Amino acid sequence: MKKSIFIGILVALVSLSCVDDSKKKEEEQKKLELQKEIKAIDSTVVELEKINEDILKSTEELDELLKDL
Amino acid sequence: MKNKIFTLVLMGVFALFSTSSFAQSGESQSGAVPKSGNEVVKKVKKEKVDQERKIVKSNKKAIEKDVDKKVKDIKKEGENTLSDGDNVIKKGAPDKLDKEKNKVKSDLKEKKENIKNDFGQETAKLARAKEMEKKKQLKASLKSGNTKVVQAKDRIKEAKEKLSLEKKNMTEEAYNEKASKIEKAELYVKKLEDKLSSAGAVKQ
Repeated sequence: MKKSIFIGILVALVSLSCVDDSKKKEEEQKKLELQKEIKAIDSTVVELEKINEDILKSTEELDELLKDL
Repeated sequence: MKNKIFTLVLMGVFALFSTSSFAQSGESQSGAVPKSGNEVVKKVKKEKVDQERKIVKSNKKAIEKDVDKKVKDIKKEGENTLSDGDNVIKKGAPDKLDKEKNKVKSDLKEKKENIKNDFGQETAKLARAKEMEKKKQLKASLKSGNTKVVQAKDRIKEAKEKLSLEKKNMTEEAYNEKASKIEKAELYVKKLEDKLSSAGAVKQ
């Protein structure tokens, strides 16, 4: 009887550690996904900045050309 | 005896089953990570820590600014209440100041805790906000660019009409110079139009 209780506790502990491990992995996965999302957003922001600057520059150049007309 | 053996076997099977199933779920979740995942994870962790440091720094600065403002306000209030009576300031103002300081400290602590526990969600939130801001800026630029295009077209049309009227009184050289300027402006307008339309597509 004592043996079976001991084994039962052992099984429970093993199960708990497995659950904990899978939770950790899940959290790590979440972190990675968020990092990916942040990276994607950052690259979009850089692209948007570039386009914005380009448009502003072109508008200024056009302004200069129109002054000459 | 038979019962005991049966129970032990049952528990063993359960243990094996639970271990393998959890291991499988773990593998499937981490499937996206490549084999050299340790390096990637380390790199990502380092980047995350850097970002969090930046956020904490910026938050701290903002909060310090806020504290300075509040202190100023309180001092000002104290000065105002001075005219009402000395007792009010001596008792009221320092208490309020301490309260504000404690509140700000706890806010800062809470924010730090949140940053630690949110798996980078705060960073993602900030990144999304920045993206929105940039989109707004681009929208404004697009609007002003489109207005500029319309104005430029009108201006070019005007210049062309004026040039055709003044053609007789001009030298050929001056005419050509003016005509080339108009042509250049037309090209620029076209270029800007193309850029605006492609930027509009990106913004979507």
